[in-house]
Amino acid sequence: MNPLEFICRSSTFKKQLAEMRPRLYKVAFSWCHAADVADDLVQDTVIKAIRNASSLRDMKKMNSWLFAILANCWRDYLRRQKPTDDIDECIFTDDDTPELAQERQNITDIVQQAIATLPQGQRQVLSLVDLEGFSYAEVAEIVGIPAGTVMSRLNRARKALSEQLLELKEENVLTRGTHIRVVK
Amino acid sequence: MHDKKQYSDEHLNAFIDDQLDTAEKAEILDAVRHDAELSQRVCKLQKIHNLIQLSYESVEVPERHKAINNLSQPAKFKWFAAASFFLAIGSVAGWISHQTMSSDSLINIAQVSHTPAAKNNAENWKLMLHVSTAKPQRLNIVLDEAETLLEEYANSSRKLELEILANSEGIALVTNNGKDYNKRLQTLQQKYTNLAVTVCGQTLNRIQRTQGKTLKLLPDTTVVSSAVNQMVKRQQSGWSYIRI
Repeated sequence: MNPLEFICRSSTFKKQLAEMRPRLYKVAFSWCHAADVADDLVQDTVIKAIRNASSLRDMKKMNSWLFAILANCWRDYLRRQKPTDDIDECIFTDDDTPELAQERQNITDIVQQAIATLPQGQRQVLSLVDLEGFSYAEVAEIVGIPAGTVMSRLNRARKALSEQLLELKEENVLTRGTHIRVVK
Repeated sequence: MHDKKQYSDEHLNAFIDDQLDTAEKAEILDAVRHDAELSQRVCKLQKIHNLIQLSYESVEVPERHKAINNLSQPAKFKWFAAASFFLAIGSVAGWISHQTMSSDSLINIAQVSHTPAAKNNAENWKLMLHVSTAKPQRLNIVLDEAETLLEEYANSSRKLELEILANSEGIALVTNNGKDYNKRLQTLQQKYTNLAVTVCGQTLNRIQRTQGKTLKLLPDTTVVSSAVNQMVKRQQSGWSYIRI
């Protein structure tokens, strides 16, 4: 690579990396549903991308290369997590307050909550296809699984979401109203 | 008589995700036109696909990850860029890919994709056109299609209720910036009383919060709570939905 090519490539790399950050964040958020974790994942991805920039041979593949790094960061994060139950994640009967029920009215929340209940492998494939529009072959490369597994995970994910969001009675899901409880 | 072929869910997923070749897409497209059940299956998958996209559009990206000079970088949707869209008509929806029929206007596509049940209601058609990009080319497509439909229905005995919904970067269409497409939309609004223009309140709030700007909207623009809520509400009321 001559110096001119190197400078051009470096500039394109930086520009594309900056442009990709919001997209990386949204996908990371769809995997973990926690703003701080998504923030860290994207930050790690950016650092690793800059450190390993020389390993990217084809600039046209930069997007899928970045998402592959993000997928690796996510895998590392999951490995680091000890299998403990966070007290804040436990569902108690009294947790379902009118305020929370009101919050759930928002369709965006309902959809995101439904996605959060999917197994992480399905969630990962679903967001790469639906949010980023990657082909099945690209997703297979990013996540490191066969294309057939991509298709079956995607199918199971959409089926589960369809059952949760579309096939239940609308008044119970997408237009759920606030429930008022009587406290004795 | 059209022979019914069984399609697996995986195959239909591949269809809506644009993973099939042209011949396979055309085959499914043809089958969708003749098979209401298949049409419903495709529509259901497409609806899930769309709900997912819309649900994450409003995710707030931390300042340090925001691209420079970008209001809110939208996700790259290949089907979106390739001008594909879906059309859902209540519970019996028709769906068609713009890629395979790019020469047709929306009117033609909508007409062929109406299922028999929907055709009965074709005299009174309620249609939502949704735009979430600021690309002038796309904004003009929305206006072209809206104008064609409004003109056609104005000259016939049939009734049309048309709503243009803008969110994310698509709010450029309804912002009073003096652009050609803003003027065109204003002219259409003045000319046709059956045209409603709505804008996503969440997008406006986000801009106000992150940029401290209150956007000046075109007159007669209605602010709705959120684009996804409005889209679901309209579809539940039997509106057709086209995302451009």
